[in-house]
Amino acid sequence: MNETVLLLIRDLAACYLAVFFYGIIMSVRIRPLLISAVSGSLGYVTFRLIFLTGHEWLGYLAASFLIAVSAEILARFCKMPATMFVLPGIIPLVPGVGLYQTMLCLVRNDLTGFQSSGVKTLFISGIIAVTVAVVSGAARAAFHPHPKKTTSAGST
Amino acid sequence: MNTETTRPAATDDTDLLVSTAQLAALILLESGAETFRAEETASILCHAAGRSEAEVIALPTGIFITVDRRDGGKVTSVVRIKKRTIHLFRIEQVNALSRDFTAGKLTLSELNERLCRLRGARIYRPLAIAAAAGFSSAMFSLLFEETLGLTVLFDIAVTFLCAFAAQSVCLLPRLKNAYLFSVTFVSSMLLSAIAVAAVHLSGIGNLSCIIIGSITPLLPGISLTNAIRDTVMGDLVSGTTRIVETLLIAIGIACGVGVVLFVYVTHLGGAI
Repeated sequence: MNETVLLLIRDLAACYLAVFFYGIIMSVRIRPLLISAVSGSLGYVTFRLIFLTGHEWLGYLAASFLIAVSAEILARFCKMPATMFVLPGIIPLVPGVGLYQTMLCLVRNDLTGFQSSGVKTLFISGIIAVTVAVVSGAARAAFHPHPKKTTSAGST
Repeated sequence: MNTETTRPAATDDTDLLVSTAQLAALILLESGAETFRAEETASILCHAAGRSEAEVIALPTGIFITVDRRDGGKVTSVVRIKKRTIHLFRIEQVNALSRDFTAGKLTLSELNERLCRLRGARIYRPLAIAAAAGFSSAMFSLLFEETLGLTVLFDIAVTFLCAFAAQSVCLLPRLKNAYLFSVTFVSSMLLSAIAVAAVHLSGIGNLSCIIIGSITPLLPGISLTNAIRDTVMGDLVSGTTRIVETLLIAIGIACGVGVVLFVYVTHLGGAI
């Protein structure tokens, strides 16, 4: 039990720094980055907590939903595009482990493992990306109703 | 006196408007924004300048824009996009500038000038970005460790080195126009070679954690997110193209790491 808590605290700290430095690779300015690193690390710890109870898919879904929603809120608050907060935040969830294991199965000539971990990796990245896309699409529909275009083809 | 009568009025700013709106969309797409954002920004700029009939089509590889002249004709402009990087600072700045222009705080020529300056702007030096990649990867490898021990420190140091080298390859000015797949392939080969050498020579360290940590900055998480966003927004052409791009990058990483690990296992007797 104590070990688990210690590992979670380590995850929180490591994740904060990892997201922070990853944001610098993507050329985000320092100030928004300090905030989005918080949402990124909290999202990852949410995933870990749900993962420990045995619901891996639900963990990815909940964590990316949390990150996307908090990014939309932060974007309205700071008057910046939500992309600035989403993209650094979801990086810890991106299944690098899955890609590595898929590749490792291929190197070991284990085609069954290759298939299963490849499909799993594809599914995980799909869950994250679709959640982010749906949340940002919903936010656009709610806050930015598309301006009515005066269709002009030939009428003027 | 009336030599100018055949020419359109000097107040017709359509040409400048077209090039400005196109430049804004170009910066957005070059910096890794979604397609609908580029299209929307260009039409918002035209709308704010009083030309609500502007038509914009943006693709990951080019932008087409058409605006009616005040005296009848149309102005159409096409631009090709060659390089696509991730530069969120520029997206934020274009957003702020178009907000200012819509609110009337900027004139069209001022906006054009600011956008021209913004196109080459960067806030961190390449060396700082490579170092950030190193630190970020080091923290990711710490995240994937299952226990806490002294060898973790060794893993972190090696990961820093690997990711720093890989990101430096990606940032080399000579490779700026090279195809993304080959750059990813070469840099992931380099990072796994360093990792294998360090682990093999020292006899300690967790090879999986080091490699997983170091490939994180290369992973196409952003292009996948943008691909799905484009698809959800109805930009089917951009969505499909970006999904293929994502798959190519992922395959590039897997091949680069896989080749090195294959040689390590079969010819050097390594165990993974």
